[in-house]
Amino acid sequence: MSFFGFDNTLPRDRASHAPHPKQAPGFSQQRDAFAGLSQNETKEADGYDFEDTYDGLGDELDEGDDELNDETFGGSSSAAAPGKDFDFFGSTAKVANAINEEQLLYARGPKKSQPSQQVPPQQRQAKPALSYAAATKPKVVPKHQIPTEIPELKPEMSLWQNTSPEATPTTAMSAHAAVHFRHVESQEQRPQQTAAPAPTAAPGAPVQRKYKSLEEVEAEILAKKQAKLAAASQQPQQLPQPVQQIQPTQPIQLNQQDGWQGRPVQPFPQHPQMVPPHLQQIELPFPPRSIPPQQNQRPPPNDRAPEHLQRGPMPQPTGQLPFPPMQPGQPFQGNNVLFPMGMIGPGPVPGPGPHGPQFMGVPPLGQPQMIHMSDEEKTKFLEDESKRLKRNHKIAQLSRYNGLMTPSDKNFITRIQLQQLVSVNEDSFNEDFYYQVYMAIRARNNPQQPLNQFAQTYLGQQGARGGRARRQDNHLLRMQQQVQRAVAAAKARPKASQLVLEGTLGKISFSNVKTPKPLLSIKKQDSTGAAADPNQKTVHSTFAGIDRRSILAAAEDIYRSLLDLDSHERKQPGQNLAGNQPDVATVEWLETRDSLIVKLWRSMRIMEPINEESDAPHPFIAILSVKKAKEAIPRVFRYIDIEQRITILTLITISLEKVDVIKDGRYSPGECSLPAETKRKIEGFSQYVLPPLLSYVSEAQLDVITGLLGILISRINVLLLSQTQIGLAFLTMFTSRAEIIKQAGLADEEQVQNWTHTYDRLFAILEDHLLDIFPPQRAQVDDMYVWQFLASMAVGANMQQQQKMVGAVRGPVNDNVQASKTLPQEMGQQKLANTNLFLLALGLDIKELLKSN
Amino acid sequence: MADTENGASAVAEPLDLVRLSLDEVVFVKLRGDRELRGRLHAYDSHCNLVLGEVEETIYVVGDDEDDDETIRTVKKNSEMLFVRGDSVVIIATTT
Amino acid sequence: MADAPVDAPTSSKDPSSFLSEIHGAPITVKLNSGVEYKGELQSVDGYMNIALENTEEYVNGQRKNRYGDVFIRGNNVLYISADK
Repeated sequence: MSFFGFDNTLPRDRASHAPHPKQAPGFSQQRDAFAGLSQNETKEADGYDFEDTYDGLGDELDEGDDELNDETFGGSSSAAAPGKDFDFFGSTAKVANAINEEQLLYARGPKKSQPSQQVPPQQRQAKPALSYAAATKPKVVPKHQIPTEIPELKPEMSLWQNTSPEATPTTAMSAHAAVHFRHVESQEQRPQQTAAPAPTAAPGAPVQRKYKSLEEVEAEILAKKQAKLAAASQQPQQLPQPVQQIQPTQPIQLNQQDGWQGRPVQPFPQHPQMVPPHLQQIELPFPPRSIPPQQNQRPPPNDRAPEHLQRGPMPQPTGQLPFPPMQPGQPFQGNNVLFPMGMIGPGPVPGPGPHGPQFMGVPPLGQPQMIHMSDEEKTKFLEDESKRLKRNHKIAQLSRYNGLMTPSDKNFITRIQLQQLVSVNEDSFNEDFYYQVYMAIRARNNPQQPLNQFAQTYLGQQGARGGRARRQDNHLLRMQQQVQRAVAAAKARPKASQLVLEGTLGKISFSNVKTPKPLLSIKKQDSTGAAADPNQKTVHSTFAGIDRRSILAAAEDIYRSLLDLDSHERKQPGQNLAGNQPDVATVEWLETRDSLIVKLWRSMRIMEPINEESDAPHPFIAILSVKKAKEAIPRVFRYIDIEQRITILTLITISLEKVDVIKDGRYSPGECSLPAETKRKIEGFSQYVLPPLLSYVSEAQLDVITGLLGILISRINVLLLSQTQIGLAFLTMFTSRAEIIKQAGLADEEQVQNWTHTYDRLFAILEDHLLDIFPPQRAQVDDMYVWQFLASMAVGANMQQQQKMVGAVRGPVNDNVQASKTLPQEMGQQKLANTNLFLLALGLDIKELLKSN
Repeated sequence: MADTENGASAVAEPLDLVRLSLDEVVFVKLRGDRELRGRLHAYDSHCNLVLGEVEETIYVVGDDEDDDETIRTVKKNSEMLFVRGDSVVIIATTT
Repeated sequence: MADAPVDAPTSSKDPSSFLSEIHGAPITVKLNSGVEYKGELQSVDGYMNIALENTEEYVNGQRKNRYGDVFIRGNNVLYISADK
C-alpha cells in the first residue's frame, strides 16, 4: 500500500490476516512469520464480512481507460472462456528461468530496507501451506480479531526475502499459489480499489528507492498533494467504473469463496513486482489496467530495468510520454496525469528509465472530472495541468539517467568535489595563469615599466613553463610556500617551545636540549643604569685604550654597524628610472643609510681627541691592533666618503709610532726575525689596511701627499719608522705617488717645489741610515719592500742624492747579486728582480752588474 | 650611541663575552677532561662553536700498570672543529 | 654555599635580585664537576650562563689556572656564591 513499504493497513484489517501472534506476544520476541497464514481458514469461521473491513478506498480507484482490457483479456463477452489469452503462466513459464535469475539478482541487491516489497505474495502463502499452515491452524484464537494490537509485519517480510531465492516456482508451488490466489482474487471482484493502486506503485519502489533523485521526491510530494485534492472531486465518478473493468478477469478466478470477500488483501498487491511473472500475471485482474499486449511483451530496453518490472501490471500505452515516477503509495496517482491527450506528443516512449515509465500509464482521466467544471475552471485546470505536465516531462527526461551511477560512484564524485572545495581557498589561484600574471604585474618593482617589457620580465622569471613543467613548478612552489609557512609558524611561537603543564599543584615546565629551561628571570641592567655606574664612566672617559675587552667590544661595535649597513644595502629599493626625483622609499632608504654610516663612523672612534701626552694610543689605533678590526677597514672604506678616508689616513699617519705593527715591527738588536705574532699582524695590516689607504693615496693631490709627509716627518721618528716594514710602506706610498703626479705633470710648480722641499727633508734624515732600513740577515728575508722604497726614493732623487744612495746600498746590491747565485733559482731571480727595481730607478740595470762581476 | 661607546655594556649577558672573542684565540674546557685552544670563528646560543687551528688536549688517567695515578695528556691538532654546545663547560679568553 | 645569600653584599630576597646585586662583585662559582671559579661577575643570564672577569680556577682547592674572561655554560653550574 505504502510506497515506503510500511504496512498501512488498519489494525482491524491486519488483524484479519495477521492476528495477534501468540507465537510472538511482544515486539522483542521472535515472531512466527507464518502465523498469519492460518487466518485464511479462520476468516471463514469468524464470518468476516467484506463490509466490515472495507475502507472505501476502492471507490476512489480510477477505472478509466480500460478499453483495451478486452483486447488484453479476451473481452467480457468471452468471460466464460478466457482461453489462452489469459494464460500468462503458460507464456511466462517459457522464460521462467531467466526471470528467476533476475529475481535472484534483485533479491541480493541493496533492498534490505524494504523487504516487504520483495516478497512474492504467493510464496508467503505457499510455504506455510506446505509446512506451517497445519501447525498454526489450531492456535487460532478469536482474540486475534481485536484490533488493539498492531502487529509489525516486517520480520515476516524479511523472512520472505531471505527465502525468496529458494522459492522457485515449481509446479507444486504454483499450484499452491493458485489455490491461494483464488482466495485473494475473489475479493478483487468487488470494486475494491484500495488495492489497485498498490501494484502500479510498488514496482518502482523497491528497486529505485535508493536512487531517488530530488526531482522524483519532489514529484512524489506534489503528486500526493494533488491526488488528495483531485480525489475529493473524483471519487463519485470513479466508483462505477471498476466493476465493469474487472469483469473480464473474473472467469479465471475459479474457486472463489464468498467467505474471503471481506478480507482486505493489501499485503499481496503491495509486492507484485517481486512475483515471478508467471505468477504475477494471475494477479493481473484486480487492478484496473489497460495494458496493450505488445507492451507487455516488449523486452526491457534498459538492463537495469528487470523484465519483471517492465512487465509489471502497469499500463504503457504507446504515445504516452514517460511520466515522472509517481508515487507508488498514492492510491489516486492516476489523477495526477489528468491531461488532454492532445497535449502529449505521440512519440515513442523514450527509453524507459528503471522505473519511470511504470507510472505514466494512466489514461487521461481528466475528462469525466472536467465535465462538471465551468469553462473558466477548465481553462485554469488545463493550464495547471499543462504546466505540471511540462515539468513532469522535464523531470521524466532527467530521470532517464537516474540510477546510472552507483552510490559508490556518487561518493567518489562527491569526494572530488569536496576536495576541490577544501582546496579552493588556497590553491585555486596557483593554477590560474592570469591570476599569476596579474599578481606579478601588481607586485612588480617598477610601476613605470611598460607592460610589454614586463611580460618578458615575467616570462624570464617564471622560465619557460608550459603544460606539465608549469604544473610541477606549481608543486614546487607550493612546497616552498609550505616550508616557508612552517618556518614562519615555528618562528611565530618561540615562546611556546617551553612545555609547561599547569595543574592544581602549580606549573611544571620541562626542558630539553632544544629548549633549555631558563632557570632564572634575570632583570637586565638597562644601558642607562650601566652608564650610571661610576666605574664604567671612568672607563669610558679614558677609554682605557689598552683594556683589551674594550678594544674587542669596540671592534664588535664596528662589525655590528657594518653588518647593519650591509643588510640595509640589500634592502635598497629599485632604481627609479622615470624621473630624477627619487621616490619616498629611496629617500627614506638613503636617510637610514646615512644614519647607519654615522653610527659606523662613531663606532670607529676616529674623532676622539688625540691625547698627546698619554702613552696610550688613540682609540682607533688601539682598535686597529685587533686583527678583526684590521679586516674591517676595507669594508668600512666602502661606506665612508673622501673626507673620512683622509681623516683615517691622517690619523694613522700621525699615530704611526703607536700602531702595533710599527711599535713591534722593529727588529730588536741581535734579532734575526720578528715574532710570529707580529709577523701575522704585519701581514694583516698590509693585507687589509694598506690597500684601501693606498687606493686613496693613489688619487690624492700632491698637496695632500706633501702635507701628510710633512706631518709625518715633523711628528714621527722617521728613522725608527724606516726600520719597519709598514713604516717603509707608508713612505713608499707617499713618495711614489708624488713622483707619479710629478711625471704626469698634474701638479703646478709651487706644489712640486713644496714636495721637493719635503722630499729633501726626508732624504736628509735617511741618507746616513740607508743600510739600517734593511732587515737583518736580509739574505734569508724577503726584502722587496726595502728595494721598493729605495726605488721610489731614487726616482725622485736628484743626481747628488742618487749617487749617495748608490754608494750607500752598494753593499746590499752586491750581496743580493751574490746571494742570487747561491739561492735556489726562483728565490735568486726574485732577489735580483727586487734589486733591479732599484737599479732601474737609477737608470742602471742589474745585467750590467752581473756582467761586470 | 651611549651603549655602543660603553665598553662595559658590551657584556650585557654572558654570551656577549663569547662574541667579543670572535676571531680571537679562546680556551674551551669540555666535559670528559678535554680542552681546546683555537680561534673562535662562530658560536651560537647553545655554545656550539666553530674553532680554527685547534689544539685539543685530552687528559687520560694513566693506565700504566705500575702507576695508575699518572695523568697523561694526548694532544691533537685540527684545522677546523665544530664543537657541540652541550659538551662545553667553560670558554675562556686567552690573554 | 648554603650561606651564600647571607654573605651577599646586601640582603636579598630572591635569587634574581641576589644575582643582580652581586654584579661586579667577586664571586665563586662551583660547577657540578667540583671545579670552582673565582672572579668578578660580569653578567648572568636566565640559563645561568655566567661571565667572569679576572678568573682563577680551583681544582680541589688548588689554583690551577688563570683566565682573563671566562664564560661558564649554565648547565654546569652547581652554585654561585658571593665572596666576602
